[in-house]
Amino acid sequence: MSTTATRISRQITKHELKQRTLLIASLLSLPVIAIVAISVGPASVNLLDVMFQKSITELQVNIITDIRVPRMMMTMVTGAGLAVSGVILQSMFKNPLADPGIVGVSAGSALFAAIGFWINASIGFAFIPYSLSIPLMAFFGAVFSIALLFAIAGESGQLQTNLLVLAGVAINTLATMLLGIIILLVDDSTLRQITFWNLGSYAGIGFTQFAPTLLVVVIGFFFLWRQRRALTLLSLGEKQARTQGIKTEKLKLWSLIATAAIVAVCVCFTGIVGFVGLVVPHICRMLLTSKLSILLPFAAVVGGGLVALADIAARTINMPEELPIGLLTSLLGVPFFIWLIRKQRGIR
Amino acid sequence: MLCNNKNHFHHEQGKCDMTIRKVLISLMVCAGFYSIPVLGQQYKIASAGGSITETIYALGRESVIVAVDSSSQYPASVTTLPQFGYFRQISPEGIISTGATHVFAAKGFGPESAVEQLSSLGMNVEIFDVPRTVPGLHTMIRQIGAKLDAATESEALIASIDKDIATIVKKSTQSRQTTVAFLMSVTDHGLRAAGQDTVPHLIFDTLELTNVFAEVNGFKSVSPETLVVTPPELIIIPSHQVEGLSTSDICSLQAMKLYASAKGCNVLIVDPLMFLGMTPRLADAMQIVLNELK
Repeated sequence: MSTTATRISRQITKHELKQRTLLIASLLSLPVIAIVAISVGPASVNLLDVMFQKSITELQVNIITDIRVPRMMMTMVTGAGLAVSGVILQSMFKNPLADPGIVGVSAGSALFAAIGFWINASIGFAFIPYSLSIPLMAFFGAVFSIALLFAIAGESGQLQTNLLVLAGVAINTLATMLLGIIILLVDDSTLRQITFWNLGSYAGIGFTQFAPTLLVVVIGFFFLWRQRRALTLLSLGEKQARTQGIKTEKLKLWSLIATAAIVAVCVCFTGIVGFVGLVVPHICRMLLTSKLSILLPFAAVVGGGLVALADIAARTINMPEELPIGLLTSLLGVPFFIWLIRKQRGIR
Repeated sequence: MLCNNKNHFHHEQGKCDMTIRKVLISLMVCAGFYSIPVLGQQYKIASAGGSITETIYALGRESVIVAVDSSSQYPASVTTLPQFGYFRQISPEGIISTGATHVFAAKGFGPESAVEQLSSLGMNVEIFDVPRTVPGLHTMIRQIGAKLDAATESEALIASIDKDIATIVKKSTQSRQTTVAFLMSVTDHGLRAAGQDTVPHLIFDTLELTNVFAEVNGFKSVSPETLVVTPPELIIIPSHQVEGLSTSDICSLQAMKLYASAKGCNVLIVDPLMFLGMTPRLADAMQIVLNELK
């Protein structure tokens, strides 16, 4: 008996060691990815040049400080935000296919962004600068979707998970249908703008876009982090969570608001960056654990790192052209994900 | 090379003559170029948009172009220049890395945040409207000419384009009875046709031909039945939409079958930039249409 207990204890210790090693290794990889992201690009200037060369031009410094640094930070923050949102939604809905798209936030953003492009091409926004119009519209689209979700699925303060999923499906379908109508109505030039927005891009990201994104993602993350124990209980079943004293309706409501806010702010500046919210949580679970206290920070690190790596690839594969980031996140993540699935099945 | 497009384009002598004439004008104005400082500055231009690039070439100022976007495909020599992606989805650093001091771009250059970032880094960004009218083309040529110290050349180019168009229209034996259509895409999923406010419609209208999709605005999905009810004498399709397909392949597509069986496979594959962009080759495009209708 004691031998078995010792063996189990050893296995637990080994597992914990593996968890810690992976978490630390992934954390350490972030600065390395950041340095690479800042050092490579179509303009021949890197971080070392800026730090040690005296003959460096102001433009070269600006390329690093105004283009590469905010862009690298934005990729990490949005990647982290989308991955954390995926973890929460999958856990809350107990649905492995849940991602920011399941509650209709992404589709709502895409629809309102398309409306924004349409208005810009026809009458224009009277009081909003052109560059702010699309991010604002996309953000409102996300907020509108989540409000609609609560209006459809919520009744007398009750939020049933299965009804939320169904309402999300309805919102997605409605938004996709309306987007289709807009695509039919707009001119060719606007159609292309909508298409490119939906492919996602970090071109043109500066500190102006990064600052509000960081603020919302950090606040959202810490809120969700504080709720990790309650969310873990919720994932085991609502009844069980209630018996443990968790106010499940309130928890679901605020967790959904937090994830929607994170996704809205991530998507509104960069467009739709697919794959991260859906698959990164699975990768992290397969590599480590389903325990939210470890999974949340690990998913944030992996999501941030993956999007930053994808952006490096997007900028450098065909310099000075740029590839859509959404394609690259899938290209980098899917083979690894397939390898993990096969490994779990015991196929080598 | 200026008259040498892909083999499947229908090339007629008239079009080549006009292109050669424009090249000669360009060469003449080029002769004095190197002695003319461009507004006293050293211009290194990243040109974004096929119409803009072609206009700079037609004004004889091609030596100032250091990079182009992927929609700039004419003349052939432009493809040897560094490319920085599609003009609607540019990377600011990609453009800066080309060493350009100025960006000359067609309206739609973006995304907007990237344009703002370029400007904030000291890049001079000039955006030109490309309206789909002949006076609009004049304005664009004049604006580009003014920026490149080529006012005389731009007036000469405009006069040449106007003269060519007037000659073509005068010689035309076609009337409003002649129906034509421009299909932006032809697939088994359906058709996307050019209506009002498009370059193909401008070409048809100037030649006094009837666009069967004139009731549509812009490029829109249309019913294949229209081709049967009002079968056009000629259907024009841009080459990039039918890569690898012959005209008989196109006419055997479901959306085209009935039209082809009733009217024959009257399909003309054309250079997309010439027919979709507002370029100094507008008269060449008109000549191609007329030659095919003959």
